Amino acid sequence: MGSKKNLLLIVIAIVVFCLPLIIESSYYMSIFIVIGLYAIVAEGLGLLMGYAGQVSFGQAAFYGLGAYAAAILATRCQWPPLLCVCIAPLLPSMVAFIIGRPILRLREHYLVLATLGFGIFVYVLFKDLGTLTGGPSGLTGIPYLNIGSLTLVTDQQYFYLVWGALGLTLFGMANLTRSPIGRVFKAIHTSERAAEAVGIDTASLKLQAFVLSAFLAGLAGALYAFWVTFISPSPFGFTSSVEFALMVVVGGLGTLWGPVLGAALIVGLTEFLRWAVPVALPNAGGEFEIIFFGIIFVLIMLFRPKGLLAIEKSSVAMSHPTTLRSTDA
Amino acid sequence: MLTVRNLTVFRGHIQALTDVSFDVSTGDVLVILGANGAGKSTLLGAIAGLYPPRNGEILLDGALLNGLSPEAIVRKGLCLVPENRQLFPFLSVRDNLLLGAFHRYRRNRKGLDGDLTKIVTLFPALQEKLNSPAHTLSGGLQQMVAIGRGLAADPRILLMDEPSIGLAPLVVKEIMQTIRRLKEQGHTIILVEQNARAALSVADRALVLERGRVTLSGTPGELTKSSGLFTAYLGKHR
Repeated sequence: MGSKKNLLLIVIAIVVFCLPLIIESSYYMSIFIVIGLYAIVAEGLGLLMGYAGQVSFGQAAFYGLGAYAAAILATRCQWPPLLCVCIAPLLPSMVAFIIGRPILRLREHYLVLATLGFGIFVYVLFKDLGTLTGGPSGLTGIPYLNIGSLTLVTDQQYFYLVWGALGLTLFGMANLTRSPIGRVFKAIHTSERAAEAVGIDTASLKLQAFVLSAFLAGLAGALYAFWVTFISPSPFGFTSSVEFALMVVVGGLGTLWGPVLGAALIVGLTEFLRWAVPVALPNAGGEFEIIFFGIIFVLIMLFRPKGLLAIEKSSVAMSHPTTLRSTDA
Repeated sequence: MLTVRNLTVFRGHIQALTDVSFDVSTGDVLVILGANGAGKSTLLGAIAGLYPPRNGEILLDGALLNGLSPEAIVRKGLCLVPENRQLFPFLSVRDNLLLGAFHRYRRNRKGLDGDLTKIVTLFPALQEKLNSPAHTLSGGLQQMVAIGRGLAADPRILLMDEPSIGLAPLVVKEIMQTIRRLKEQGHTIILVEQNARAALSVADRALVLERGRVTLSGTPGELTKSSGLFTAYLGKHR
């Protein structure tokens, strides 16, 4: 079983490594880079939602904070881009740390509303702090990333960088979820009250998951900024936050590869529908894509309500999140 | 060891406990009896830090526990075995037991294996189930895991909330024997029960709660001799 898993991992690594060698189209390369970036964000959110049992509809704000922090440090402060990539994720992490305590005391709908409100607030800041962020027109002049003497210019180079970061993220997540802390996260997800009763500091652990998810979103944002060399507020709005949450849910809560699959599916489906709908319905406008998008997700939720990669036992776990009453003696 | 003085607790707008006072000495088993809604689980929850007291004091060896978080209270040595087990159903039995020792992970990880062995010695039936998900166990075994998880915290006082609930009479007997063994090993236990006869068989002292107030207290012998309220609550005794 273990060797099969390792073999599969090696095959995946080889396929990912070969992709830029096979794909010449810049468009397709961009899609894979976006999948990699979104998968990093979704992995962090997956830890928060699938393991710590908290919901965030403000993840695009952390993604944006990472992107803007990196861009502002590189353009206005003239810091070396690589240093900016390392430093930028600390801003969303700090913001998550500060707002996390009060926000994570809320539960269910109230938590959703609070994170959603935070996302909208940050989005408005991106638009209105014109002198710092460039306002709605965006921030231009972001340099390409350089590592030593190597300047990353091509999509192929950014592909390796982003998917390398995703690989490290997956490695870290795999170790974290298998560690005692991972076990504790699963316990919190199953029953927060029972976790408290056995002496687990649930508030502190939820905060740690929230900060880590913000760090990963910020890292993806910083990589995004140096890849596109221009950022504006639009990719960091409410819609993106909903998409990130969708990626986690569609891929499978509480799974390592679910967020990656979810990111690939949502980005891939969006691009596919953008191409397929005009071919099938030549007179259809943009809204038709969204209708098909909605239908496909309704079908996924109907037939795989716990996500594509969620295994049966976790499906049951989600449907009985609190207590398991004994049925026999 | 544990002193509760004039404890008043609200659950939302409802006053669940009023002026509850009692003491527990080291090595004693205190049984708390009462009908549904009398405030028994609220009392354990308040001691465990889950429900903050409105008034009164909870003291452990003279140190005030009021206002401490549940995890801080576990670190002080009080551990709750909650009603209905509240296990982590899809984690293995081993993981459930280890989670009980979570607060010791960083400080004393070495002792964990030994403690796990002690728990399995106390509940030999768990030995072959260590890697099974907790939800696959029978109710009786689940209760043993819940008690084992509480013991893994190495508590000074174990707070047990209706461990016999939903279990067959034979299993209840086994659970009570376990409590008796724990008492013999020197554990201090506060046991909330509706099954008065079974609970009093292991008790050193007992108290009866009625609508959030202590209406009777004493040794099991004193309680069983007293008719009146005790009879009204728990039915006629022989």
